[in-house]
Amino acid sequence: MSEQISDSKVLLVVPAFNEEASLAATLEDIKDAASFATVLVVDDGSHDETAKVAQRCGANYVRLPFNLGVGPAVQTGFKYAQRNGFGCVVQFDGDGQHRAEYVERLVTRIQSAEADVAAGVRSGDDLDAYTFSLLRGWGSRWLRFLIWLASGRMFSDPTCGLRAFNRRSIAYLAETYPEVAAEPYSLVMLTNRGFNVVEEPIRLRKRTGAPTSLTFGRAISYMVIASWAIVTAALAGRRA
Amino acid sequence: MQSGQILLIASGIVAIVVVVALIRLRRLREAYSIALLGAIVIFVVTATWGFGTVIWITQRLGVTYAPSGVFALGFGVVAIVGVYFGVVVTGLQDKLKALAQENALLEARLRRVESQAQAKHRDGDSDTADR
Repeated sequence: MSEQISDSKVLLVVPAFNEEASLAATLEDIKDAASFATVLVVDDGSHDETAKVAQRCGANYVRLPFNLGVGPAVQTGFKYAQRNGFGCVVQFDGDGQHRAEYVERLVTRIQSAEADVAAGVRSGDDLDAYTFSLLRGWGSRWLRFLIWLASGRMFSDPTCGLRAFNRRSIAYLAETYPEVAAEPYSLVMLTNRGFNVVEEPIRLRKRTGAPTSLTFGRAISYMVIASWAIVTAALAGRRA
Repeated sequence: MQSGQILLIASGIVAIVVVVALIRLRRLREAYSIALLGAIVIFVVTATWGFGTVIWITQRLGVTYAPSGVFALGFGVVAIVGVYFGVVVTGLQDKLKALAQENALLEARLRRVESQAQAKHRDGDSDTADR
């Protein structure tokens, strides 16, 4: 049976796939800078010791029996939050790039009832630090343009994964969360259904642990899938 | 009977044999084989008895080699079957995802309940020892 829902209870959902190398440092950072939040590591069918690292660090964890992808992993966190009475969820990457010091700012914007969703916006310097920065720059512009067409809103950083959600958006996303290109897709879904999404500037940390899996081919593939996902999200209409 | 017609009928019979073999080996469920068998039957029946009609239609459409009309019909039927299987797979994937998530959440809950029960048990033992 679920506990009574409280807007003050914050769940930090950390989707993690083969992140044993970086997860301990991520959880340590969260303990230092966002100790007010309960942490839930969603082990997305990892082949390594991700779940054991979470357990050793004293974090709550759920272990998906096989790899479902980041979208369904985050959705599992929303379901957990809904069943255990959390009024705020923060999505936080397990690869060590997100900084826990920004969690409080995002949560404040949710708890002050200013917004349903507070989305992080990475600075240009952080984004330029990655390979394929030219492709990333044009890709980001293209996605922003498509999202503007689909939702009427111009978002500065549609692919940033550091976000906070209130109780209303948790209930919605626990039922319906995109499986592919979840970040840009969900922005269109949420905006078109009347959720108030605000943006909050954040900074990233350089990636630790396993090297990024983003290759040139995957980046192109992501752009194609994300573009199609945004179109389908727009075709789904603006139902309440 | 034309040679093209014989080729089409032979292809259909081979396809039926393959589908039946897959069902017997339990690699294909009966429910999903119906759509495939339906498509193959339409293909074979058209090739056997509707060949004249197909030739007439294809000639009106300006197709010079008539059996290609039957193959075009077969392609259309296969496309419909493909969409049908796309819908089936999507439904199954949704169910599989929900099951995997439910399994993970229940496993986490079980772990929590077990650790609470163990803690309670330990407290009970220490209380008994104190007395």
